[in-house]
Amino acid sequence: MSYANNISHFEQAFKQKSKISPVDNTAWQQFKASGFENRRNEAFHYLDLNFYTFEAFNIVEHRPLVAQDIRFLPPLSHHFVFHNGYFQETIAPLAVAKPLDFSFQAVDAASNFFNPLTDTSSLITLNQSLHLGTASITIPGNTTIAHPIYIHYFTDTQTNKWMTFPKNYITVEENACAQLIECYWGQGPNSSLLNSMTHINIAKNATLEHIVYSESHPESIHLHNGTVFVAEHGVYNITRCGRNEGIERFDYAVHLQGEYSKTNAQFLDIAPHQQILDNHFCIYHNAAHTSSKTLSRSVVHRTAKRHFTGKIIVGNKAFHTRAALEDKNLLLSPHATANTRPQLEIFTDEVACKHGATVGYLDEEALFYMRARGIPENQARAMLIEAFVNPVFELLKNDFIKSQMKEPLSAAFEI
Amino acid sequence: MHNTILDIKNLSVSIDNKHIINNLDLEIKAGAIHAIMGPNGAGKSTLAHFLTGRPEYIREAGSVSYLGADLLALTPEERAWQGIYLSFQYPVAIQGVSNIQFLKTSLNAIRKKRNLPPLDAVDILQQVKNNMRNLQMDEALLYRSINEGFSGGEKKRNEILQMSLLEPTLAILDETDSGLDIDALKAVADGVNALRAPTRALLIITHYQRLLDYIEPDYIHVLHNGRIIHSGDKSLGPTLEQKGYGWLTEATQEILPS
Repeated sequence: MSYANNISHFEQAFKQKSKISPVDNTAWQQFKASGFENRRNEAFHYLDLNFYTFEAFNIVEHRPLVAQDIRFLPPLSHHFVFHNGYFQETIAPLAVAKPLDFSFQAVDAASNFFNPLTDTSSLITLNQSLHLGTASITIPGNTTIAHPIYIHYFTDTQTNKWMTFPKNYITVEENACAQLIECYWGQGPNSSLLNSMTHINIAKNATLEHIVYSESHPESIHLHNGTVFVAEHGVYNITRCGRNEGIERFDYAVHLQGEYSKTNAQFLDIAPHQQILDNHFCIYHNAAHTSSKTLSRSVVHRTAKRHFTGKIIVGNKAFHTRAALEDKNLLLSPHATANTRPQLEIFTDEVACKHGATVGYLDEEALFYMRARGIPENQARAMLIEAFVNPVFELLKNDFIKSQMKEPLSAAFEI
Repeated sequence: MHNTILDIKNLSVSIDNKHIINNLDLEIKAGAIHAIMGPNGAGKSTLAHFLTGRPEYIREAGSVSYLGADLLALTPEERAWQGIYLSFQYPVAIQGVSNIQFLKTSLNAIRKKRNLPPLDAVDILQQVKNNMRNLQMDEALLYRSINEGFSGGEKKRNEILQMSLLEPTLAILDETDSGLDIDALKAVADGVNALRAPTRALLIITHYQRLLDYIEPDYIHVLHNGRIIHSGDKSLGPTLEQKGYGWLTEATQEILPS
């Protein structure tokens, strides 16, 4: 039974931890009792983790990262690097300015964000149980951070199949503004299991531009979780993209708690081979005059599968909410799969909400039109794919991540 | 230089096992303008799309020679490289690909195959803007997605703009006059006439004489049930306008085997 074996395997890893806080223990007991949700739970319908075995993944060893591993990182940025779950202090000089105009701490444990009553998802309890370190960033009030802040998680699988459980706590205080890029790099010949959790608090009038980028090996399993709270007039913008070859689940919930708070979300899922991408995004409009806009594109080829659940929940106090969600999927092969579930739940009056989704193939009429103008078929297909993803790609406000995405957008499809 | 640009012999074409073109013969010589008229469903647009290389149209019999070589062995893009151009009756809108990007890609793809150096963005823009002025087009259309939100007239002018840049050897105009007001019709016709040359040929598909008032054809053919049932000079147009097709199609029914 993979279920019992998985629990036993994770328990062994839990007992190996050098420091176990009471909250970690509570989380572990919760996970041990419930295990992973099965496919009867709507949120796990398309990706039931009970069908996978995790015994091959080991808890990580501490090995310093060598400098050339990170030489491709962009200049004029703040970089904080974790290697196999451990913070790499030697990388700190990469930061552009010292002293920092914000605070960064890599701490062994930080439990203040975990709430056993509400954080009941198996992936959150497992992360809390097994995380080794935490990246904690606070942007002080009335401060605009001029350069992007990167948190890099490298999983180096040269010697083994590792599992890591990164945790990030981000606080943006009143009237502050910053850009945060979370990068998850899978390096080496072996696969990895990654289960990350990011908590974000955005205070009154504060703004956070957030990008989550990940790369992974074909047999890797990456599970990203996030919870975001936005106070009045706060702005949270998120873009998620990556080059994942294996299985990836992305599950974020944004709570618009204060009046006039807003969020814009962009998702770009590129699945050229046999990936399984399971994307969940839920926005809770809990206050009046809140707004959200979600724009999502996926390109799915060969036998890849992509699932999207986008939910907008407008609470009973959230009058004058404006919300829009659009998910479009392009299939390049008859064997590719896209499931899309745009959902609206509205519990008040006087709101303007819309949602829509499409799944389809390349437009053969457009293809013929372009070929009839002398554009070779492969180039015409590439232009149409680029045109399809451009509405999201153009909103990606980071040239480094844009450059990382160009290769999978062109060569990876081999069309 | 080839005297004969297009030579269609005994051509039959089907779509989804339905025969649309039946035993069609047509020869187009350099410098000539041919017009094809005929009732709805006669196969006019099918012929235009088949010559451009639409994959789902199947040749059942016959041959098509273009500049002395087998046209049907070529892909749509290869036909464009060789100088075949179709002005679409319903130009497709392509969201996210700007008109100028499309023109640049198309023009340089064709120049590459003709062993000409690629034009840079500045040169292309200058040439495009000149041609747009002649067609009385708004330059703002260059930066919009191809044909997206264009009016009927803008779409047709855009087709002629592309034609003027790509300088085809054989241009096929599929009902370019449909949906055009009088001013637009004249602008489009002027654009087409500017391309007339002894080395080029035009095949104009239309329902109405009014386009032929501006672009004077050398020959007019009547297509019915997928074959040419009557041919004449430019004087045939006004006759058809006056008498319709009945006098020709009824006569054909009498001689066609049931």
